[in-house]
Amino acid sequence: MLEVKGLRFGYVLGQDIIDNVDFTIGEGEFIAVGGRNGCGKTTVTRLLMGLEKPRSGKMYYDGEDITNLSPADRGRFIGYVFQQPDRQMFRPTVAEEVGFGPEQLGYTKAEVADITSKALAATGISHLRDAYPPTLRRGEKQRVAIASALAMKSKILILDEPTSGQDGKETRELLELLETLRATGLTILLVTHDMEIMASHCTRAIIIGYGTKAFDGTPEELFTAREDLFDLGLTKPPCVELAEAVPGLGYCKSMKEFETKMLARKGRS
Amino acid sequence: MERIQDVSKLVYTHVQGGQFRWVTVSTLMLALGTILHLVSPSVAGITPNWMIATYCVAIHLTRPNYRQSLGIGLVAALINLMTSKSAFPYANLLSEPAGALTCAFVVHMFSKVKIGGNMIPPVVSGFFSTLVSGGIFVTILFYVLALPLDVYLKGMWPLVLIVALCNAVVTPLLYVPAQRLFARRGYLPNADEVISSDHSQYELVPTNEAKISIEHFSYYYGKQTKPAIKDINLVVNDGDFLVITGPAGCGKSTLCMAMIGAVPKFYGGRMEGMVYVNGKATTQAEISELATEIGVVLADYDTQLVTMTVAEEVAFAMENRGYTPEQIKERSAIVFKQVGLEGMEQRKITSLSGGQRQRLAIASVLATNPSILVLDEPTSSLDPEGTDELYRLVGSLNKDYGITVVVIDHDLHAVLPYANRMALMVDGELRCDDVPANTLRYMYNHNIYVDALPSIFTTYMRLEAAGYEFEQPWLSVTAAKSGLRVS
Repeated sequence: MLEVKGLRFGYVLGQDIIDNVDFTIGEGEFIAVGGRNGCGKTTVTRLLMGLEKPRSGKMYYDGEDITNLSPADRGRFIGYVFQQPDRQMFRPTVAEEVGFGPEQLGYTKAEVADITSKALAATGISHLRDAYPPTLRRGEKQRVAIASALAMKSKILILDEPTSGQDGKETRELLELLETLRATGLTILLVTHDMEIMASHCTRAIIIGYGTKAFDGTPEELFTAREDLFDLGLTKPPCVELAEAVPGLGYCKSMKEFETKMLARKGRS
Repeated sequence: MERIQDVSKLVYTHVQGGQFRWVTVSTLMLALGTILHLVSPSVAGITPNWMIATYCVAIHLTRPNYRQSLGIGLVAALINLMTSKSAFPYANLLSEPAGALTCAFVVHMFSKVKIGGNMIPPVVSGFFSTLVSGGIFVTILFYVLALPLDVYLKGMWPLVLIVALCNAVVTPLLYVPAQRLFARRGYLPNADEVISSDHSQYELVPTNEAKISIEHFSYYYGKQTKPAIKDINLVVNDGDFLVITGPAGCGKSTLCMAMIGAVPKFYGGRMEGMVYVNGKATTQAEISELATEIGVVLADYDTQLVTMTVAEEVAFAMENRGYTPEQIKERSAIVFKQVGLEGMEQRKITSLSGGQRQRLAIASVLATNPSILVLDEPTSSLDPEGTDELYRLVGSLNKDYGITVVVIDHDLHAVLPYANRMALMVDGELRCDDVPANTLRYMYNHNIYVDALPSIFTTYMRLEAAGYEFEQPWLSVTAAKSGLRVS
């Protein structure tokens, strides 16, 4: 669906942050983008969104070259949720914020209202439609940003560190929402530091390191086969470590799975 | 001194910002007076004295004491000095304070007899303040400029009288709308309102010699009737690393503010019971005094940073407390080493990363050598690596430097390896205060705030329930792995 070829970028001339980055993203994937602080993982998503221009390399969406497409035009298929979602809200109410995109695309008032209501319902914030966005909690603001992307009928949703600084409940609810959206065919790119989320929710991990794409595969492969996790700024999630400590248990992608396998063992013995 | 045996009946109230209202209102009124003074038309050389009228209104509205009124008068005098077209403007330095004091006297008298409603007191003060102020002004002019007696008696005094009459009219006219405006914004004191209780006559002694002793402490914010904190008893011992956790809105941050004295001395509200820090009752010490015993790093640590460079920031608190340059140099070197910011002294604060700025906030708090460090939700803006790094630092301050640590947090797994105690708060009550493993167990068993439990711990609890036996609770991956290998 979205293809990236030979991407090269640096903020300062002559100092590339990343080079030779290639990958293809398909429909319904749940992809973690990870790596050490400052490795360029946020930069990669900014390039996808068109917020930065690559020094060289090409990007294609459904075969069409989008390398020079503006962020506004990419908004038709990519939605972006910033680490501080406050920075992307500027309308007086949640409903107007979410309706802004479709309004710009020239839908009628009734159509915009309909799209907005559906997007708000899908993200579980219908009760906040008249709220003033800056007064919302961060988790709610994220939902407003996600609803805005849904209203644009985005096919790809990029979230930058959405779970940092949130408590367990907020994180769990956000991940549940993302799982639901993914089931409807949305592709999700999650920039994250959280190894537990990477292992338990993502179908694929793209790790940026050594100035390029250092790994692209399943989280299982990443956490079991890679010897250089530390150099990549990663650690094994607790569930993987614990599963390895029990002989014959096999890989566990989440604490839940570890628990289930352990309980099953007890049942047998 | 009255010895208080039972602090649970002791009450302390404070109106937030109440002690500064007279400054706010008189500043705004004097600004208005300056503008009116500059634009007011004069008819045959006569114009109301707007300066006097406006400070009279301010004094009526906020009822400052004589000392504060003198201050208002001096500010008015300085403004007049700079804007006056008079032959000898320095006379204002005596006349304006005298006018303000006259007004304060009138307000004081009327508050005793309580007659005259809303309008009469401003009429009276407007007239007499202007008469006294104007009289002093023209008398000084008379002597300094050596004017003829006739001009003084027949020219100047009648003029003073006319202006005083003008002011007797304009003062109440300004008073009524000003009163409404300020009252609507909550700037005005209620009748007989006490801004802060006074506990100085009590002898308050904690029941034990702990670092922090919280005894029968309850707290109501502002005019709320529902307490934010209900009858809490908590002791923090020397060398403790205490984690306070609980769902959002449970009162954990309020408790943290009570430890540094911001509750009740800064936030408005009603406090019952007592909080002692190093044996000092927080109602008897100023926040700045307590700061030498207990340092706090707020969740939004950026608001604590006030200077341009890293070195200046750490020196700031010490300069304010009168440390010598040598002492500042010596302490700075020590705290930079403690927090790992050596070599960054000359950096601009704006060039630091979030985690570094937080370390700097910790360093500047440690500069004055407090024995207790309080951190309110320190990890809320950090990524997992930053969180681990922060707790490594705080753990070392606790273990290697003997600093007592209190941390408010809801992200528990990273802090667990360093904590020796954990308190759980729910709805303003202290539900559990025990070693971390027991508090976590309590949360799990009572289904309280289980979202905060590290996933590794909930797994441990479920496996244990299914019949697995482990030597120690799983507070860390290491503990869990060693338990798994043995079993």
